[in-house]
Amino acid sequence: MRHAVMVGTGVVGLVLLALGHGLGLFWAPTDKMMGDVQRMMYAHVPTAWTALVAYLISFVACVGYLFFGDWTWDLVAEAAAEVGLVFNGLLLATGMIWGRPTWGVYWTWDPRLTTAGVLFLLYGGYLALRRFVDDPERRASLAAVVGILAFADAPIVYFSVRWWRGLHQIQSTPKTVDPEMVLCLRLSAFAMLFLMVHFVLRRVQIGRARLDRELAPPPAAAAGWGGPR
Amino acid sequence: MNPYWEYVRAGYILVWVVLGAYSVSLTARRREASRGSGGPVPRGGAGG
Repeated sequence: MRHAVMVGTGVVGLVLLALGHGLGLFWAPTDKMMGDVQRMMYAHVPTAWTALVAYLISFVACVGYLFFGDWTWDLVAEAAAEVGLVFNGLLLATGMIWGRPTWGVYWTWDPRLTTAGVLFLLYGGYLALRRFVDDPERRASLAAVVGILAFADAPIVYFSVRWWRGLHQIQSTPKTVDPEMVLCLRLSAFAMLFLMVHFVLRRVQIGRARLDRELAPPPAAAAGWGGPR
Repeated sequence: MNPYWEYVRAGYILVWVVLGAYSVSLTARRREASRGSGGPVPRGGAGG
């Protein structure tokens, strides 16, 4: 069942991504203000939504681990944080590529860009922390606390365009966007959502295999040898 | 051809390449994690 979900989310995600990107590139109408460069929206915006959803999953799993102490919560927290970091990196990179022809610069210290960059660094730190702590229980507890603190930046990223004036535009709504653009955006967004779930499931598998090896008794103990007296 | 298409093309290629590379890395890490179950190993490999 789990394998079917894993394969299914991957296949559906790939098909939807090809459809959303294909339609966004060659079928959606050209934006009157920005021209063809606006087509970056179908690649850029879904990475933002997907990264935030992945980080939200990681945050919930961190809280879950602290409450219930079950390893699965820790594995999900780690997996979702790593996948979120991949989409966060894509968000920053595609944003820079879009920014160059639109604003004339790849990067500027705009509140949205800065807070999204900080979010990337926070979750990079969260994953780095996990590699520095050897004891699994101590690692999971520390990581859960850091994961909860790191997520505090996520709502700031989302609302930054409303709270502060900057170069980055505020969120569009379906009412202000051409319906054909909305369709392409939704297809790409669902595609990345499916791919995110697919990647998280695969990453949890890896984490579980590693954890099983870490928690396994040493070979001598497993063989019934009590060690030197 | 609209010169801005170069940026658009670069952005889309980047998304597909990064997601593809991440998928390949997950496959490799899965194989590595499930290989050799000879007891506990230090995190980050058996070296040290």
